[in-house]
Amino acid sequence: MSKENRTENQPRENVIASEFTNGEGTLVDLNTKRYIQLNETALLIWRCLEQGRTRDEIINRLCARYEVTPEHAGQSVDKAIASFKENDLVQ
Amino acid sequence: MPYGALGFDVESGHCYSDGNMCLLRFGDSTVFVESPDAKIITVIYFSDKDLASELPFLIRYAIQLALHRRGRFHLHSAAVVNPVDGQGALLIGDSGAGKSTLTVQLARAGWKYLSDDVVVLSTSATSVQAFWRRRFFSLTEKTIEACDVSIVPQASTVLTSPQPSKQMFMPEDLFGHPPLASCFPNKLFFVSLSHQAESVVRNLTAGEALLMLIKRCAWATYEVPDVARAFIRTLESLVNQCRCYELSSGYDVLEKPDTAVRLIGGGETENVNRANV
Repeated sequence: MSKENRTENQPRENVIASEFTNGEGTLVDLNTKRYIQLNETALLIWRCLEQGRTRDEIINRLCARYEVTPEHAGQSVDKAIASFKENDLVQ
Repeated sequence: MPYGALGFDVESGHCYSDGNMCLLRFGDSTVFVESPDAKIITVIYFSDKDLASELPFLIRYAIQLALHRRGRFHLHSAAVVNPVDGQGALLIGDSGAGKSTLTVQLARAGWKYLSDDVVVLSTSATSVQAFWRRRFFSLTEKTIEACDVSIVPQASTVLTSPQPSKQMFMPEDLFGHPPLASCFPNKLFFVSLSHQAESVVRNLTAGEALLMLIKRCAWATYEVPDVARAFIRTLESLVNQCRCYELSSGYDVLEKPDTAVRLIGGGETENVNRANV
């Protein structure tokens, strides 16, 4: 995997992810004081971004965990990342 | 004042943070602290101000910031413990939300208690523990009336409250048993007054509960980043070890003394849990 791919969509340092026993989570932005709630899938995608995984790697993780097609998983990844970007949670 | 500093109001003052330092202003006086590892908290006090009214706030908030740097975090919450199963419950809410009324009703029914207003949270390797921080109770005339007007005036220790609308009492004078020093909370209740006949309990998701906690703990996002991170981690651990509810207190809490026990102690909340399975 290229270094370029790994540095794309990196979670910002000022964003704190919390995780709950039901699999869901939240993101809190210390700069803007805004927060969003994450469902289980979105939290998994966020954790993958923290680990520097590429889009394809994240899709593989989703397909391995849930019974979804790569196309469906890809849509979920794109939608989640678009939301993270829209809220300026990744760089 | 640092350029770009964000802030929020606290009782009798205002707090600012720019991500590197925290500063609290009360009139012309200031509490100032820098890094998460700061060994010194600076308190600048101007003596031309009223010592009695201003200094207690400065000391209180200086201690609060010092505790943050040792991983201890304040929560505006009453704390009680069920004498039957030993489970702790935190009753979280703003001033006037009914925390003291519920606490007094429960303590009079034999529940153990820590505080009617504020606790300090501390995280160990396995769980979050709540400690009492304020020994006295502070009750409004309305709460005193609702909870039994004949008891409070007989209390042996009556203190002078900084809030004229409230009376302060040592709780052991009211209930005959001293407060607990700490408890392990298993339930969180976000309390408010509904002005309806009957109280309503609603189940909260962990995410909803954490966001409600963060809203009530402004320092969790305004402290310097490493301290804010530790604060939010503590709140996250608290939510994960508790069942969480929203409690809209109705007039039944005032009219039927056993209502508080029923709401906080199990019956109502167990039904809520089953309904959401």
